[in-house]
Amino acid sequence: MDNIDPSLSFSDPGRASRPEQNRGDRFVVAISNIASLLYPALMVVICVQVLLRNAGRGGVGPGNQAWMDDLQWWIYGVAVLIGIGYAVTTNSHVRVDIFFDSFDRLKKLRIDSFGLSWLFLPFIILSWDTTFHYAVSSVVADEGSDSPNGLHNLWILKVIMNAAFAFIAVATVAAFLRRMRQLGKNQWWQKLTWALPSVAFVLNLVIFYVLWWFTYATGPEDMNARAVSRAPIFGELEFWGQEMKYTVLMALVATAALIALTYVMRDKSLDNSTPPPPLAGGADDSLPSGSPTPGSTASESK
Amino acid sequence: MMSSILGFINNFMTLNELAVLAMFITFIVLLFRGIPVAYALVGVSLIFALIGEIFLDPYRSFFRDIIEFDRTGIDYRRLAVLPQRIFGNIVKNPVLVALPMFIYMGLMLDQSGVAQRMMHSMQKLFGGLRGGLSITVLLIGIILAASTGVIGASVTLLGVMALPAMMAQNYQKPIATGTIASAGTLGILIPPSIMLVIMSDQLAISLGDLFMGALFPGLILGALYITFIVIYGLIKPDAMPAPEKTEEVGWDVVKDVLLAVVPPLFLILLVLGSIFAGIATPTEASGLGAAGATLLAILNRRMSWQVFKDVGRATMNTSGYIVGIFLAANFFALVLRRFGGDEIIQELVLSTFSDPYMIVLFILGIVFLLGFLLDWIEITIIIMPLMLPIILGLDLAVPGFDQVRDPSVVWFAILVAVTLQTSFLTPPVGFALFYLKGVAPQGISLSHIYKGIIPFVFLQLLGLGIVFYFPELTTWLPSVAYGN
Repeated sequence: MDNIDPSLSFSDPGRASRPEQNRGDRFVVAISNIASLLYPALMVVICVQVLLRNAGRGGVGPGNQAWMDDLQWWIYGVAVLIGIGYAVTTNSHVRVDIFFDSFDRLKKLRIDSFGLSWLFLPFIILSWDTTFHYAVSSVVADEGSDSPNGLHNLWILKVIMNAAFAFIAVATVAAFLRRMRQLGKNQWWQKLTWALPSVAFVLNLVIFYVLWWFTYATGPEDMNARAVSRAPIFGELEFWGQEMKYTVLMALVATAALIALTYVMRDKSLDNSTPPPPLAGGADDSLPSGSPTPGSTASESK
Repeated sequence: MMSSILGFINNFMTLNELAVLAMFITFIVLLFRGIPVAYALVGVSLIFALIGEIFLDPYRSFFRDIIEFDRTGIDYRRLAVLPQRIFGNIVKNPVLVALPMFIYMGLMLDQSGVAQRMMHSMQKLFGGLRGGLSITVLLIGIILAASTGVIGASVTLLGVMALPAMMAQNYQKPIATGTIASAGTLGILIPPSIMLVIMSDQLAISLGDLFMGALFPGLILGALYITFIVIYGLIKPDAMPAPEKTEEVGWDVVKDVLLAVVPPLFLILLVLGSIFAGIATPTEASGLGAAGATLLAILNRRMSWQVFKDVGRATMNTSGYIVGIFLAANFFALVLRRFGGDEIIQELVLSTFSDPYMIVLFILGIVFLLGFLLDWIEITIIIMPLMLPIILGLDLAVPGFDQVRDPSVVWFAILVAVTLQTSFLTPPVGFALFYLKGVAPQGISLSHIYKGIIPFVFLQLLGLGIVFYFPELTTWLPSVAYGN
């Protein structure tokens, strides 16, 4: 590709930070690379649809296919949701970098870690949890389609949507752990503390679902969801005008206990470790470059 | 202590207004620390949802004694509407299908070598004239803008191709860089454009109307730039000198130019022509355009497995971060509405002026100022939906020629689109500047670039004024295109 005009060769976004990537990052990149073929596929579907419809107007062929209209936004929807995760891994979500650009490397890494684990990850967990219920109720209802000739089995798409949020969560956790390693925070108690809200949120969900299924499984034969949620363990603690669910309280205690436990069991020899230097070769993606390479992949569209 | 502070605040605003204000301030602080927009939006929303649920709502009777407060009613169960919104607004959104397709088309067109060919041939045709290179750049900018819907890539493209030639001919640095930055930026205004795709989604108006409506304003802006360059060349000949030795312009050169212009004209015909002729919907036209650009890349022998893969992956990345803001803004809007933020902002904007046209100008002024710091993605996705009910409620006499639905919204959207042209050029955060700096040869500093964009920002504001005084410019073409 050397003889080609530099403005032509933008690089593969997933490769830029390859040396620093961990297994989670590489998983995200691999899946996204496969999913990127959805865009040419979408292009083909649209072209075929236009041809069919216009041929159909002339009395040739089957004409417009309603299911292909649906297929277009099915493909688009899946592809862009995966793209959100991909953009987390490639660190290309849009930011205002007037001040950020002048921060030193460690400060940039700390800001990134905070954004990922305190702000973005809790939202992705929330989205995963709520889309999970959404998908389950769609599966239970065996949801079809709202247009008679459209694409059926809408529940498939809703299940994929839920899976996509799990995928984004993997991308976010992997990106967070990569930055923890770059910051030299290799101990579990450090990582857990840095991701405190996300850890508490996940523990809350785990405790809730474990108790829920336990109550459901051990309850009487005719136990239904409503009866489960009325079980005393799902009650609320009242204090100073507040209502706090027992499960939330348990999650908070469990979070504190987990961090305390990992702190006690830490590898004391690493206590005074310093952050590792950036890898050679300028492959450090934590620095969204001040002067982009020609046609830099980060933001072609802006 | 706290109650006396709140009591004092009660003189100016309600607790809801205070919370909304705090929400925006927190957002801005996070933004300027360098937190990505999408993360900052969802983070702020989570923080304030939590504050509403565990602090403001439970103690509402305490607060109400001191300060006006409407309960937010946020709780975890209520957030269960989130997946419906994500599914309905983002996934099941036939209009937004055009977004990745136009991005794909733009990236593919970059790889196809079409622009390079135009540059080489047109440079020969106009190169001998004073200011010829600037005019070449502007013409290519307009033609590329009408064939693709993204910017950034075209600014780098023009910068790499034209800037060295302009320097060799001793063009003044500011005028050279200003021309390139503004020519590349036209891509996002002249249809097809991904910005118009997003606006059509956020403002619930027809994408076809927007495309047709933006055509004249975009061309007017292009014409203004060219007129400016011609006049400037007459007044200050030294700024854009003609080369000392010129080759004779023969028929070969003209033939070359015509041949080079054919491929982009083919794309324009494919995308805009198919919409105009009713062969394809605007969304489908994006797919046709992507296929057309792919075809051009193959015909120019630029296509390889590597190019094919890279274009797909770069499309994945770009659509990912744009849709990421969509996702985040959806949640932000949900929480903001719980605090009554929509109405608070509406009342605030409506209370500024009584004349509806002044209100429109006020909003455009805000967009212009925001454009210095934010770029079009955030502005269109976060601000536009808040403005929609305001515009619908205003009594604006925009002719719809009995064909265009919501003509005032179409007009408003185009006005905002023209205003946002400035956001690419205004420092400190202007993406055209950023890209141009990235590819500028030695000796061109940011201050040259900053100086160069000033006249063009004024030209953009002039274009804005023209569209403001003649709303027909935005609604006449759609009314004809869809009239029959």
